[in-house]
Amino acid sequence: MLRATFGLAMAGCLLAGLQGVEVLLGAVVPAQAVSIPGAVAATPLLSLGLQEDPLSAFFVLVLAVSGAAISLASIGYVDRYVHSREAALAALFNLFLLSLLLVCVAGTVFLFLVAWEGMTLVSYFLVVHEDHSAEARSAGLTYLVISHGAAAAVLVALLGLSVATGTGQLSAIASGAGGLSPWVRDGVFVAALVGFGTKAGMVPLHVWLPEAHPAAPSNVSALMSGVMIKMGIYGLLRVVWVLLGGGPSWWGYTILLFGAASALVGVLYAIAQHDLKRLLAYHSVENIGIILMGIGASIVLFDLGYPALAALAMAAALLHTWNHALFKSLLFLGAGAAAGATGTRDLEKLGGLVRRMPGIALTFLLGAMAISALPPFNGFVSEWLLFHSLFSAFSTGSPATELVFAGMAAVLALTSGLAAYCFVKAFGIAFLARPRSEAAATAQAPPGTLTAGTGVLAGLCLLLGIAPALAINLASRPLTQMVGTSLGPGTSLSLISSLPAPSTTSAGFAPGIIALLLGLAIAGIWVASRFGVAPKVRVERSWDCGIDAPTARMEYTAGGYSQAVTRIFQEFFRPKEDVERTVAAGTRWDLLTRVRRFSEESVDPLLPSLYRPIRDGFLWSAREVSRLQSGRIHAYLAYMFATLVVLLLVLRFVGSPSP
Amino acid sequence: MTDLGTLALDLAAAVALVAAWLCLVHTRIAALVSTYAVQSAAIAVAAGLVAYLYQAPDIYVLAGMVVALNVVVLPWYLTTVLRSLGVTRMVNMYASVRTSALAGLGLLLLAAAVVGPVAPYAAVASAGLLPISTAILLIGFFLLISRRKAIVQVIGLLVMNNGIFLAGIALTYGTGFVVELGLAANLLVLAIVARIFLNRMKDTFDTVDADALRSLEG
Repeated sequence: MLRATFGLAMAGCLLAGLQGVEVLLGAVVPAQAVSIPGAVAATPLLSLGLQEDPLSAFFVLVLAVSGAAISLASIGYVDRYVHSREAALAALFNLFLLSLLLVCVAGTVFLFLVAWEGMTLVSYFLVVHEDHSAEARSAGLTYLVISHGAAAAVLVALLGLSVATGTGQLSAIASGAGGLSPWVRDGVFVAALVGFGTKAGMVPLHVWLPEAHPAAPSNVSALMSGVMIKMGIYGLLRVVWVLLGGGPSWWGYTILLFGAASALVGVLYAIAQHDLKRLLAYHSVENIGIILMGIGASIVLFDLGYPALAALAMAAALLHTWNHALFKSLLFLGAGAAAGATGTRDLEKLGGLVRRMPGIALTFLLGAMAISALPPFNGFVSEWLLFHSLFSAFSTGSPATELVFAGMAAVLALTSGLAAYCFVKAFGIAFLARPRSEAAATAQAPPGTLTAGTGVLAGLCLLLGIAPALAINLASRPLTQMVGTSLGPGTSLSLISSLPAPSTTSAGFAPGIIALLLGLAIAGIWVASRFGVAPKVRVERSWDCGIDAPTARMEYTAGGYSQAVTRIFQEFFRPKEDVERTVAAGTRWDLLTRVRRFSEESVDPLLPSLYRPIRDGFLWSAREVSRLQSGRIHAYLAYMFATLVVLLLVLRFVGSPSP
Repeated sequence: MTDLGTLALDLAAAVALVAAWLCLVHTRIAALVSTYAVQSAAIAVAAGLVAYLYQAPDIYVLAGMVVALNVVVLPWYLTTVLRSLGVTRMVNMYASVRTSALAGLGLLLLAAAVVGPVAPYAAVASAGLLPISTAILLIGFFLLISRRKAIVQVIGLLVMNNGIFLAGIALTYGTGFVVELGLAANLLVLAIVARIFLNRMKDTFDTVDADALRSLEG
């Protein structure tokens, strides 16, 4: 049954993906009006319709590829690790895919809003699937509340555009939006940034993300983190680039700054996490930040009159969107396998899983390398393109732009470095060394389809890293649709191709050749060790301070590892440390301390400083208002009386008596 | 239309106003009921005068109805209710007699200030009718919010209704015959419902103090 349901989901994804590729390669799909039999659209604003233009098609492809792999993995995952209401989960999973697809191909404002809201609601039910845990319920509530705030902003942006242009068709809005006043355009932009930025997980609107993603079952986390948050990016691109046709450079700088903040905050928080799925969720914030930096840079460069450079930045954003969808889905599935097999997501209780689940460990490692932007993986390509577009600002001759872009490049470099640092921890602590708990030591091998799903994704990460021209070619029509130009003619479908160097800069790189060299080097090492060229390996016990047989307690811990960075950024993290000691009975000497436990909890500082005042304000005003509700009938009548008297006075002394 | 007629109209309205004001001063509920009856009678006279002065015969019917209902039936009915409830005096009012009396004067001033300028536009050529009816309305409202006993609140509502009736007469010779009829029927129903309600309240809380009805808080 599960096999059939998820198989169907996979088949649907593949079909949608094929259609997407067809559009991206040049097919034109006419917009379809959808009519519900018996229903009459009351106004043109309420019309339904589908469209698949290149931008839609690109996101359909992103959705389809990850969706298919996740569906495959879900067969085994749900069967093995989900113990309640599997059928409901499978049905909701399919609904979730459908709503994501509908968001991408909605052709009218009304259908888009319906699909958007459906996506939020379905994902809410998926987040609270394991509703026996209070954590999941509270995460679901946070998610629902913040998402609805965001949906309100999206509503304002899209309905504002729709009313201002007098049509509900997205394509017609695009042609009518040019004549809008700058105030309307700015208002729409701000509302869209807030609404879509929240869904994407942009700092400081990200707080729902690290709560909701870990709480959901892991295949759902993969879909949410890999695909759903990309719908925020899709919405932003749709509104800013397709509907409004780009904007003034302050839009770009705003997105750029929020993107940089997201990247940095995301990766720093990821380092402080010891919960594997939370760590990955914070990395989603970071990667969304990188994507947003690309979008922001493209708006600035386009406004300054450099469409080719803008196309480069936008290509980086689009590619990173796809890349992140691939490796984040992969990593969440891997984390799901680890968490499912051991029953814990706490890194300090994992370890040694590489022997228990070698397939998952290998693909997780590949995914970790991809997200850390190491060549020859896909993450490297998009970040390299982004670096390029940031550095290319030096050819614009505008000091302010140069300064900002240089700063952004520094932020990006720091982010990539810290991401690599963090994934050393995530992989090393979870999969290497000795098991840190009984559960990790006895973990069962994951089901085959789960490993297969991660394998497919890892293969795609590698493929897009070696042959990025493949992805760039697929992104070329959306690029033309948005920025008016694509990357130069140097791109082709050959596997060993060099990335195009923009005309204003000289650097370029040939990922295929890098991969070839790396492959040769690895093969050389293997051959050397296999055929005895390398020195003989002696097998000895590791040094253990004279204690016989080292235990897992002596291993490096996740907390110890991340201290190196968390200490540096102490002011930022404001960690709550908790050192717990148990002194041997009858003594008061520190030396005789039996157990020392160091635990550290890092609370997202944006939570108290940004959201608490809002929450407290709400509660305060609710309390104050409730004081009006005395329950005394005289009081209610007195309110009416006072209102009447005040209105009469206003009428007398403010309004002019009219005959 | 004669000046004498207008004078008589103003006089009747003034009696109704003074009666409303006296409602604020009385602390014995029985006196309140009879004051209400007097006020209703004054309003019936005013309605009859308007009918006579402006040749609007259907207002005679309304005036007759006021006499029947507001002057005879309702006061009698309220007296029986009072007797069955056994309440005679108001205690613990939200506003003292002195405050209430001053507030009544203030409301009269307010009504004169607000409605006075538009009084010439009323259908009935009396400078006083519209401000006075507004003042009666406001005083009835004040009675409603400043007294604890539920039965007094019913009287406050009836006083308000008299004000509305008078204003209707002043503005349009009656706010439509059918509407007036409906209003009168409402009054009757209101009185009956109030009686049932008060009896139940007395049974449940052993008081007819509306303050006992506060348990919705939460």
